Amino acid sequence: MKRESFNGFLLPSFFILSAFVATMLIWNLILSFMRFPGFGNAKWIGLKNYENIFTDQGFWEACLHSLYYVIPMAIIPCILGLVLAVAVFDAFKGYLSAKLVPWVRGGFYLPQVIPIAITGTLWNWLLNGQQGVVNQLLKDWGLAPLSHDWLGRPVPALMSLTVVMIWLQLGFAFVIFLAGLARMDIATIEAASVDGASWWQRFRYIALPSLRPEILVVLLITVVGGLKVFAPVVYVTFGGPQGSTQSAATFAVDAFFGGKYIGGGSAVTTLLALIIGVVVSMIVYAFTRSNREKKVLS
Amino acid sequence: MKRFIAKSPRRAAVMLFSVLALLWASPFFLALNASLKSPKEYNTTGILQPAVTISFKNYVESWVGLEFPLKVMNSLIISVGALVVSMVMAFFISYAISIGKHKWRSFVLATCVVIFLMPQEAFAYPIFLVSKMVHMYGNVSFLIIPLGITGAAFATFFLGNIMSHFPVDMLEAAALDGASRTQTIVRVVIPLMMPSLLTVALLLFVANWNEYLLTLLLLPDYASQTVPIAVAGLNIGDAWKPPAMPVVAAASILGAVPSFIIFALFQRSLIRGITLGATR
Repeated sequence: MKRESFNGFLLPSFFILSAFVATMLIWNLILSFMRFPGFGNAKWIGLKNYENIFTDQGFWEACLHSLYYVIPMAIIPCILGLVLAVAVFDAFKGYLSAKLVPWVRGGFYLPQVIPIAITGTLWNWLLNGQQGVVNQLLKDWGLAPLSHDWLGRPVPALMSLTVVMIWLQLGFAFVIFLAGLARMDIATIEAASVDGASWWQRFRYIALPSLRPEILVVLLITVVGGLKVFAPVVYVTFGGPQGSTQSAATFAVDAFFGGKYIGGGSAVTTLLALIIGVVVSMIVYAFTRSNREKKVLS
Repeated sequence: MKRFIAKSPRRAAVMLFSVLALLWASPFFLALNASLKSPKEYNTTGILQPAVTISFKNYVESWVGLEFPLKVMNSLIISVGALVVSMVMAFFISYAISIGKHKWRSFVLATCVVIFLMPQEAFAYPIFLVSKMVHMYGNVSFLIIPLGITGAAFATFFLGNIMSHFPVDMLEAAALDGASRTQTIVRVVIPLMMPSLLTVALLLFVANWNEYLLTLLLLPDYASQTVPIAVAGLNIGDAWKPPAMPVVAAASILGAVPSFIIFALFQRSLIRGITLGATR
């Protein structure tokens, strides 16, 4: 077939896409070098905004929180999701059990489907100091001393967010790993058990390597999601009692629209975009390189 | 497959995980329960007791107070509009790189991955400024543009992968039969790819419906909000006085119903779509 040029197909749309994104990012970058009161004139002030945020303790706390949030948004859901997927894959055999799998999948994945603004509101409602469910439950079970003002004090608020984030993300990892397990070569597994391999050995040496692409992708998406987390924080704790649960992203948006300083918000988001861009590019590059190497070797 | 656990413990495991899955959805059950109680009953019995007198008053109040049909319409306009833009753009780009095997394939795919993993907050303020500049701040339809374009990155990535498995001989056969490129696309490619196209459209729809940042920042008027933002705003109490707990619960359930319906109808396609994207 004659090699036709597909430039006419590709270029307009891709150009619009890249131009739009690049323009917004560059504009954001430029804003980070200006003092802009939101209307009227903007004044070029060089790196002053960056100076301001680097000396703002709230900024560093927010960054710390964002780093921390990677744990409940990515690490824990991945590990738990993996274990859960393997366990469900192993245990739900047989006609009736197999029928249950879509329901189990649905139950865990549900938090990902409902808008985060709504689930965040729901959790805020559940954890509310006076009438919140958790405290009521604790009271009913005679564990009243364990009840806290879940949203009103910094440490309980962080704990609450941790739980909510795991609740949100587990389903994503679980569903992907479960599908990945279905891809596995059953003959290898059976051969291994015939050879006397224990469950742990089969998990570690067969299931885990076979799931490598899924693990990589899930980690990539969830880690980036954790670093840039915004919605769970905003909708559950509104940034926490006096900003004690702010993430980098919520700090930035607060700077934009909370009347603090727009240039500061741009500075934070530029940094965030830069860090994530670098992290993603590195991971994507490493991944495609290992793919290419494998192709060469095989 | 050789079971590592004998039958009884396996049945126990099945029960355990089924219960766990139910527990995972418990916030919704709790909200459902609370939403069916009248505020008086709620104040006396709290959240955990099952509702004795089932009343839909909270739902009526939420429906009316939220102007629910209007919010659904807003969400629909944005979700569908943006997904159409994304699908059209993504179709052309991924066709060119996968079926057309354009030499920029890796570059385009890598760019799309980076774009859709970018924090949206980095675009938020500039987009806000643009909306003001074109006097479309607060306009529901305006959101179709940014969401449509960023969604195109996501869709290109998915479609690009799927299209690379397209049977090219079909196209050659069609060309031999004298079909022009347009005809080939309309008569051969699109019908064959319909399931995948629908799946990606579904994923885009859900992502747009659940969007929480631009809809929050660009739609200040109560009347122009989308469903998720309207419900969340309820809790923050700027819509009307902080409503009673059962009403918030009812509003949350109401807001979740459209998403829940879509999920119930399309669960398999949705999950299949997500996992397809994960395995390159």
